[in-house]
Amino acid sequence: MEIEKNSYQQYSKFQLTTLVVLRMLIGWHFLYEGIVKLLDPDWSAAGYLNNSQWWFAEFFKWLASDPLFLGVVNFLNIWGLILIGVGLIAGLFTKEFIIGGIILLTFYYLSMPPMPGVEYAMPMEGHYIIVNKTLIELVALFVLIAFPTGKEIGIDRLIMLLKLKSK
Amino acid sequence: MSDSENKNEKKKSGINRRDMIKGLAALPVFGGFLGAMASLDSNKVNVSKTILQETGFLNQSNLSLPALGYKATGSLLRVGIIGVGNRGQYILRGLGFVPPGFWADLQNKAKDNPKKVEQLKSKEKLFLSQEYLNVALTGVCDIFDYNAEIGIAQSQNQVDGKGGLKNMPPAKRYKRYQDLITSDEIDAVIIATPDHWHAQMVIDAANAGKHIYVEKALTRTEDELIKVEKAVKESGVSFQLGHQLNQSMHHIFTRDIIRRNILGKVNLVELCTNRNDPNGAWLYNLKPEATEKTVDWEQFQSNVEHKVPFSPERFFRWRCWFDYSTGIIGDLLSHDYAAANFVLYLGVPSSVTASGGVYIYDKNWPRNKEFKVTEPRDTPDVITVNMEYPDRGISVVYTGSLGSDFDRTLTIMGTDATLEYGRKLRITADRKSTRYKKQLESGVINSSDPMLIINPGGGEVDAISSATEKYFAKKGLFYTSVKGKKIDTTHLHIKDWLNSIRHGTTPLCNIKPAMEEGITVQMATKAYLEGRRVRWDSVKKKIV
Repeated sequence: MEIEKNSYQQYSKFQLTTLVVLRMLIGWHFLYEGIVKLLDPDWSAAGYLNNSQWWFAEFFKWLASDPLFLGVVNFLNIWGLILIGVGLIAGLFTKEFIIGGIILLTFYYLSMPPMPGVEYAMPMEGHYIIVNKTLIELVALFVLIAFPTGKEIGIDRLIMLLKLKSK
Repeated sequence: MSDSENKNEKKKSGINRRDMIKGLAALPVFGGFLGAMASLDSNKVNVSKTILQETGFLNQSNLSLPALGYKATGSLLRVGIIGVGNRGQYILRGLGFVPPGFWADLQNKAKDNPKKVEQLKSKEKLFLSQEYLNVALTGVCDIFDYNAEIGIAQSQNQVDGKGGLKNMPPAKRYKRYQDLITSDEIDAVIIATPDHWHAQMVIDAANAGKHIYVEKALTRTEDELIKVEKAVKESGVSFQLGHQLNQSMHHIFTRDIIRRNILGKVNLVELCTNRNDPNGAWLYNLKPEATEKTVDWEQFQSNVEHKVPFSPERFFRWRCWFDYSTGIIGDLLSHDYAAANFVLYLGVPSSVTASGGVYIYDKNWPRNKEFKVTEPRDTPDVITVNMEYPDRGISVVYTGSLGSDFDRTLTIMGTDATLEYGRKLRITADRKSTRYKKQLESGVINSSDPMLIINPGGGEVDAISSATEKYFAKKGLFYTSVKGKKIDTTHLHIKDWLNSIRHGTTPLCNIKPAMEEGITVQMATKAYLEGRRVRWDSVKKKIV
């Protein structure tokens, strides 16, 4: 049976706990970032995109320049963040949402990478060179794909069991 | 329960209680999240926004610039320019004209500095995106051949409103401004000469029925003011003074904040200028092209009392002498005064005092030789001006230094809050405010952090709390934009003027605020030169 082959069956309690806590914390972060934007009627990605620097700056500025694209970017951002957040906390469609999170964070990172010599007009808390918290969160999501937990602690477990039962 | 037992049970029933717990382990986390969200109700962000909503400030759809509604309808307007120096050339770009190869040359000169090239490219893009204004540049007048030729080159290359450029016939060169003003081929004139010519040119243009865009300072002397006002009013031409900064959203927001009484009773306004480089102190490059042959020096100084032999120093650096200008007062104080007048409707002060001196660029300035300074300036480089408005209960203080680049903000202090006007607008509640007493006591706002930061450039309004944001707020964004679109304010200011010519609207810097500013500048100049408090006699229309 699939459940017996899954590697997370091998996790110690401590390993499982730390992985699930990491998953939920990242989910919490995504969820709140999404909700804040949803509740703020004035929020738009335009300021962020327009301040993009480095190799992909033109692309991000181009996104911001068209009201239609900008609307799509804003919508995907807000609801992407919220759904990914809920998914990670609840352990629902965990792998799919983690991939979604990786895609979003990749965009965030590439639009404003802390490259040496690149300066941003937008406020940035902390000090970074090449590595920033976005990049760390991004890699943490890769860790969560490498060490999945949704089918152990999460709604994915129930879904899996229901599927097994129906077989 | 051991793992094997667990598995056995699962085989029987599918999902057991333990699976349910593991499956829904996130429920308490969501509970905690919602709890945290609920506690945000008293959050500063919301409260500050509530304050703004109460005042209606957030309804920014009511705020926009008159110049944005420009309609280039009607027949082609034929514009002439007098004075094609740096500022004149800039205004012509605002009008849509650029010499062929202008941007490429600049980018080529900066090629060792990729960042600067990048900046120049984006400036070029911005320029090419300007609206076509349905104007032609038909006349150019400059007493310096070199500048006149640049102006003629500019006249032949105009933005087409589709992101590109189109060829236009060259403008006619005039050697005497009187000929340009009286020409049948000119409908409107832009005056960007040294200040000592502004008044006579405005008067002559008004008498010839030509619409006028004139750079500040409006006049060099007090006597000229009344004559200018009379000529402009009697002629009925469209008149705009060159305070393009009044077209910025900063001003519109600030005026709205004051109108909505967010600051309480405004009582002290601090205006300031800080610069610390020779270029900022008008020690411009002495172009080798300027010789007695290429500059009509006699015409330049024909209305000046104190005549001197041809002097490239005086020709390029005329702001350093009262013979031709009012120095820092007409050139820099005027900008800040115009801002304060725009947002507070100040008008002419009842009295003015001023003091200062030439404290940086005196004969002991170590780089005099390098900058080829042979004659010391007489306009001050450090100055303090106090303007009193007892009827309004407001003191306005201007301090300017050309020997310090310290980053200060224009500050408007009220009994309930203070507004700092930098790249962003920051409003901080007053510790002793009665209006915000409740919020201050409950700690939802405090007097050490701004309760509101507005970034007109980003079009965003955000109430903030973090010290980091506070620190970076000063840096702000590097450009201003109107409703998300980057626009050059000079371009807007010209549009505002053209709109008034075509459609009879009132330009932002029309003769009324222009006169208020002109009088204030003359009062400060007189107070400085005579070292005494001067007053404005509104009946006799005279500084006493």
